[in-house]
Amino acid sequence: MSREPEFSEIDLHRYLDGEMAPEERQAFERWLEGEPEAAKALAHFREDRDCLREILAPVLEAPVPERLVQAAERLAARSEDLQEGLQSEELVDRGAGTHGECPPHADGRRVRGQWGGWQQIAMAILIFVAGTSLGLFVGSNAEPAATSRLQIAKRAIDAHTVYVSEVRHPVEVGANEKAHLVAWLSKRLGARLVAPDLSRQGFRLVGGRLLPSDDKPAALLMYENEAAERLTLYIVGNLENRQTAFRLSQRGEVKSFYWLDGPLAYALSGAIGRRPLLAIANTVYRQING
Amino acid sequence: MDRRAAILRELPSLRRYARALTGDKEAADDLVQDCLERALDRLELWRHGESPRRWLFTIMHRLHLGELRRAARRPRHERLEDVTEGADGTLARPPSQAAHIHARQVLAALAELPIEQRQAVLLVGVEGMSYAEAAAVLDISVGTLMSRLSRGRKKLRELIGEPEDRPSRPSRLKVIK
Repeated sequence: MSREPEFSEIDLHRYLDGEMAPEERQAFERWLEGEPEAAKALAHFREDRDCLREILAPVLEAPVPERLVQAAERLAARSEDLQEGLQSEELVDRGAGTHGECPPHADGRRVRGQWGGWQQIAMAILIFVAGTSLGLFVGSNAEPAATSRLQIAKRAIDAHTVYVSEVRHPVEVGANEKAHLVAWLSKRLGARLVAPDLSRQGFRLVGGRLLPSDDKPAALLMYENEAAERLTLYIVGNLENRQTAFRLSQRGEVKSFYWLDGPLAYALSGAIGRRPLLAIANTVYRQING
Repeated sequence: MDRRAAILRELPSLRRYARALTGDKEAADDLVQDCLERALDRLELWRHGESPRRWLFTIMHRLHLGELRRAARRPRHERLEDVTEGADGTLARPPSQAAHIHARQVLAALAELPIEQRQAVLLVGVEGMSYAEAAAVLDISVGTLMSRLSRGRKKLRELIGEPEDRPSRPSRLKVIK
């Protein structure tokens, strides 16, 4: 460079904050030597900045209150679930327009528009439940079970993935022993199980099996259609004993709608379209509560 | 990258920024907690392989804006001074030399800054964010950020500078490049 460039007041800050490339820094430093006023201003800005840092440093070093650590742990646990490849979202739009940056659940609205009769009733329940969870945010209460609920989806998708590809032994007890299957699994889970009839949706019951979920029993029911597409309904004890809206989780091709319903938690999984899967999830929900 | 560790690592910085922004210990921790809870619904906005810092600070910034909008306008200048009194004892450590003399003045001056300038001064100067990062958090252009930072620091200096310094504005400098 033949001529030294002129620098502006903004450049004092760019220099101070390390926003200059090495070459520009050197040119700036040369320029500054002939500008005592600017050098003085720079020194003041630096002094004020360092002063602020020093005054606020104790906050950085202070122990973090337990409630914040817990909130951070919940967030961390959920983010690790996501890292494992699970994508999760709330199906129901939680109060349209309450937060602008929230991506619109266009699909949910379309689906809602098509529905009639019992679906509207079911959706009304879901919207109510979702509204309640929105309330959770407005207050400062945490959602303690966010992680465990996502764990349900994760385990359901794991089980689905392992067993739907099984040709010879997809189930332990076949649909020909349906009464025994339901009684057995109900006994093991300690709650009345229902094996929904999905024949109107083109899926027949193949059978079911018992699975471990940590040290608790879980049940897996398998369905199949004429095209040999398989769905699984994963059922496990619900520690929270409350209801939630449907949530969608997805890993690869496998989607899973999961929800809590009183003593049991359910996850309906399959590698089919989101809307047909949701329609079947609603059928399952209706039959269980019918 | 260990996501858990990455989130926990941001906690102290979030608290510090919230504290300097609100000037109130309880309000600051409430803001941080709201931020962590809101972040549960915004996990998809944390891009893979990226530090969670921008994501968390952005959420907190928006929550704070919402609070400011809701809250009736009332001056809270005096609250920032609480910081030096160390309700939890953490700020009682006497800062050294010049900082010691000016600590209270500086915090009072910080509280005098318009909120936009205070955000810029804190994110860049205290949290050490790059201009691009701070601009992203505040959802403004880098040019706007630089302008707010420059005005904020100048105002801060005017408010806390020694009396003989006050007229000594760097008159030879062009204000705009």
